[in-house]
Amino acid sequence: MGAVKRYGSGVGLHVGDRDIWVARRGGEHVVVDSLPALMAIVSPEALSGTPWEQKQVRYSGDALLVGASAVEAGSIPAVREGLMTCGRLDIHRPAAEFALGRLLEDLLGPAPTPGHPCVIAEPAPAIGFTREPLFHAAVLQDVVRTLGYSPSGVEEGRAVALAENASAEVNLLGFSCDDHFVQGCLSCRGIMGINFSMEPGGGWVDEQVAMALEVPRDEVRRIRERCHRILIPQSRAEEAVLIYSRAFVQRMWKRLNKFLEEQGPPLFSDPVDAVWAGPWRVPEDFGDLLLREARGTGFCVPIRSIRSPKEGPTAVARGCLEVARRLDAEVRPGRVA
Amino acid sequence: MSEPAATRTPTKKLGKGLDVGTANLVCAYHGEDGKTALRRERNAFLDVKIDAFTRAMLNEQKVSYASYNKLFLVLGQASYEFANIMGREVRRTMQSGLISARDADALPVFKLLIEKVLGAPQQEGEPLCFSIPAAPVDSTLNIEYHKGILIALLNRFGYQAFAIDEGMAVVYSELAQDGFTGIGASFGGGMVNVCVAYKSMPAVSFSITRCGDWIDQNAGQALGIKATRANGLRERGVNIKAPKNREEEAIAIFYRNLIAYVVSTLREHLMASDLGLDFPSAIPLVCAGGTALAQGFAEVVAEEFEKTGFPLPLKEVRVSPHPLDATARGCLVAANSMSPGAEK
Repeated sequence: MGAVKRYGSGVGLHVGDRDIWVARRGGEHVVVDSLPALMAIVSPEALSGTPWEQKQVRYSGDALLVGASAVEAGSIPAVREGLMTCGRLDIHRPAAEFALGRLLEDLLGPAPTPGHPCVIAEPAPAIGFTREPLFHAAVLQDVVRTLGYSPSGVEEGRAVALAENASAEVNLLGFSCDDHFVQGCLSCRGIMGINFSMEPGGGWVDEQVAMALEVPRDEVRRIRERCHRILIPQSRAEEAVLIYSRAFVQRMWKRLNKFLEEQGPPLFSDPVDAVWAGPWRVPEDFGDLLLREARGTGFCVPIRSIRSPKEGPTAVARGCLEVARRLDAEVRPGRVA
Repeated sequence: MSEPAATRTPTKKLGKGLDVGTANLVCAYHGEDGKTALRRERNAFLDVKIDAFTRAMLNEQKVSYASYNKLFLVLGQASYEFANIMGREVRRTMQSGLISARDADALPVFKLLIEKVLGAPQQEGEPLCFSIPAAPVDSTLNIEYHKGILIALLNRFGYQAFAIDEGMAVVYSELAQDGFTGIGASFGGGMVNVCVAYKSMPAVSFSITRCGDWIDQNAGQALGIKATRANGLRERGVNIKAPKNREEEAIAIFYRNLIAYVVSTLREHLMASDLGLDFPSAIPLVCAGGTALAQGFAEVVAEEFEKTGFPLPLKEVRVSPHPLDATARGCLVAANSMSPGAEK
C-alpha cells in the first residue's frame, strides 16, 4: 500500500460491500483513496518466498492478505472472502473484523490532530425489512477512534445528496444503490427530510438476468457496466438487463411511494432534482429510465431530472467529507467549511 | 429570550404598522425611497432533532432558529418548508387570532418573531400601530390579554404602541379613494375580521374565529392529510370556482362554506344591530388576507351576497391588490397620523 496522504478538514469514509473509500481534501481538490474490501486466508507456507510474504498479517494462526494484496496474490491458493455481508460486518466472522481494522488503518492513517472529524456512511432506517447495523457501526467507530479521529455518522443517501449539492442551495433526492440496498434521502437545503433504505439493491437485476440467460452473475455485471444506453439494447443480454432494470426501478418507486403516502408525502413548490450513485458504472441514460418509470408509476414527488454523478462510486465518501468539513468548521471557529 | 432592540438615529419618516396575524407577521414601514417597505415572516415554528451537522447546515443556509428550553426550534418560513418535506405539522404561536394558550413555547417564540420582523425603532417612542381582532361573534374569546401582552412587548422594544381593529386597518389601506367608507374584511389564518366604516369611523366591527386554518384542518381531515400539507396545496394556488382535482375540490368546498358563513354572519349582525345604517350610496367591500388569495374568491363572495339578500347596497366586491400586506399598510396609515408633526 502507498504512503498515507493527510489533508485537513476531516475525512469521509464509506465502507461498501466491495470497496472501502476514503475522501480527503487535497488543497482545492478532493482526493479519494480506495481498497478492495477483501481478505485472502492463506497457509503461511504458501506465502513463503513470494512478494506477499511481507504483507501478510497473522490472525489465529492463519496468514491473511487484505485489500489489494488479496487481489494481487491471485495465483496463490487461498480462501478469498469479502469482508462485508449485505452492507455490514458479520458478528460471526471475527477474521473479517480484524482485516477491516487493518485496512482502515492503512487507508486512514493516524489522525493529523486529535479529534479530527471522520464521518462514516451508515445505513438509513429500513423500509419493510429488519437490519441491525449497531455492531457494524460500533466496530467502525472503535477503529476510527483508536486512530485518534472523532467519528460520527451520516446516512448514505444524505451523503450522496451532499456530494452532488455541496452548497445545499437546492432540494435534492439522493440515492445510493449497491448490490443489496437502495438508500435514499430527500434533502431540503441540506437538512434531512426523509431518509430510507430498501431491498433489493442492484444485485437483484444481475441475479434475475443470470437466471434468465443462464450465465454467471459476474458476466451479467460486466455486460451491465459495458452497456452505454440501457434504453437502446444492442443484444439479447442487454435487452434482459433493460427488462429486469425496469422491473427493479418500478418496484422501487412503488414501494417508496407507498412509504411516503403512509407518512404524508412531502410537498414542494417546484419539482426536485435527483441524483443516483452506486459502486458501479451506470449507463448514461439510466436517469432517463428512472425518470420515465417515476412518472409512469405516479410517484408522489414531482421530479425534474435524475442524473448520475461523474464519479458515482466515490459519491458517498465525498458526501461524508462534506459533512466532516462542516463539523470541523463548527468545532474549530475560524475554519471555513 | 430577547432583549429590547437598540434604537438608532432616525433617518426616515417615523412610524410602523404591524399586522399580527395567526399565519403571518407583516411589518410596513417607510423605506429609504419614501415608499412603503415590507417585512414578512411566517408566524410558525418547528422543533427539530439537532446534531452538530444540522446546526452547521442551518447556519450555512441562514435559516432562523432558536435554542430554547432544551429544544431546537426552526422559525418562520423555513419551518413551513421543513414541515412539508418531513410530513410534520408546524407549531403556531397564535391560534384563532390570539396568542396560543395551548403551546407553552408559543409566547417566547412569538416575541422572537415579532422582534425579527419589526426591527429596532428609529428612535425611542416611534409610533407603531398593530392589528388586533375585533370581538368575536362566535366565541367567548377575550382579546384583552392578547392586546395587553402586545402593548407591553412593543413598548419594551422601544415603540409607542397603539392597537387598531384589523378590519379597520383594511379600510385605511384600501378605501382611501372611497373616502374610507365601505366594508373592510381581512381573511387571515385564524380569523375573519370585518369592519363597516363611514368616513373613517368604524360603525360595526366583529370577528369570526374560523378562516384559513379552519379550511386547512377540515380539508386535511376530509382528504386524510396533515393540515400543513393542505395549507401548502392551498397556497400553491387554487381556483375555488374551478377546482382541478380531488384535493382542490375539498379545499373549494370549505372555502365556499366559510364565505357563506361570513356573509350570513355579517348580514345577521347588521340586521340585529340597532344602528340603522343607511349609506347615501352603494359601498364597496374589500377583501384582504392570505385566504383571499384564492382565484375566484371575490366572485364567490359576490355570489353569496346576492344569495343572502344583503341589507346594504353593495357597489362592488374586490380583493386588495396586495392582500397579504393590506392590514400592515393600514396600520402604517394609522401610525402616520400619530407621528410627530402629523395632522391629528
